[in-house]
Amino acid sequence: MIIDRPESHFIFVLPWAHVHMEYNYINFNGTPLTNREYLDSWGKWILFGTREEFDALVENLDPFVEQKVIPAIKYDRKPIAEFGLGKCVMCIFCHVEKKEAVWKILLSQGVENENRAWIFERETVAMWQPGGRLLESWISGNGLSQEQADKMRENAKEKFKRMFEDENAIFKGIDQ
Amino acid sequence: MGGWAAWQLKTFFNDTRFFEHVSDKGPNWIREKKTVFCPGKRSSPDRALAAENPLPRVDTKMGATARRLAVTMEITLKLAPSLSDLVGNKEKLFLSIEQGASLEKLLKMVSDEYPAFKAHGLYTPPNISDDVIIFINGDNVRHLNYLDTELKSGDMVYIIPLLAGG
Repeated sequence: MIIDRPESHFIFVLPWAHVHMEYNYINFNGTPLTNREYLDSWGKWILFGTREEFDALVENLDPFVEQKVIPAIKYDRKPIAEFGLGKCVMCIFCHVEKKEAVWKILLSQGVENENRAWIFERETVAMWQPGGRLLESWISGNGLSQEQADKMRENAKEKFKRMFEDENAIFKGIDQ
Repeated sequence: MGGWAAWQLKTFFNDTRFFEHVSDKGPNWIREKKTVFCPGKRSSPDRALAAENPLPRVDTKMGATARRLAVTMEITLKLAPSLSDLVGNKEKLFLSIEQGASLEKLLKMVSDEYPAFKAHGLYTPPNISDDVIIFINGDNVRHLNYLDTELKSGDMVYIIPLLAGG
């Protein structure tokens, strides 16, 4: 189902069962991933496009998400000004061993093969750590004071430490 | 096909022979002979024909072109929309580069061709800027052999800003 809440920067496409029942989309063949497995194996295909292009694309991808063939999708409601990308970014999430099957689905829906760009979630997590390019760009793009910036860095560090402290615990997701 | 032209084409391809086959065509079952080229060894009648008509020398110009094509390969380079101005606002470049060239060689070639690409600093020998991610066929080159990754014919190189990876 497409989850479009105006208060959120992102639009999500998740299985109905994940939203309303106990289903966890972050799994491999039905088995939820641990924190360690998540960092080792979870990732996403990255696409660039306009909001309109992505709205049209997810209408066609939603059935695959409901069938749990594509675990989850998220995309920008509008381009993030601070990042200067000029386009919205869409992330299509899956386990690394399923990525080629998911890519074939994307190709079948008109995505061009030259747009192949796979990023592991562990790389994204690192970018949101103190000193990581995403966090630091966010801080400088929002014109935070030194004190505010330090607080944000400390919060980020603590947040991820709490999330991944027990590598054998089932991964609970990242607040976005 | 005229006899002289047929002989020319036949002898140009060193190891070819004509195939004659018969195809059925149309409701009136008109049988039409067609002659096609097919690689293979010369049949006995062709050997006799070849003996009477020795092979001409291979055109050296054609040979040189064939040789050049055989040692280069085609690579597609794509840049994310926010980076396309570095290569004249083209999102895709189709590049010819020597067989077995590395990613570094490709980036150097593009830097030489496009001053804006060079000035941006996304490739400053011997490093790739931390502001971008470079993929080859979808895989981050930092997980491959970085700038030494050897390219193959038909590879797709894709450069995106690192900030898109969030």
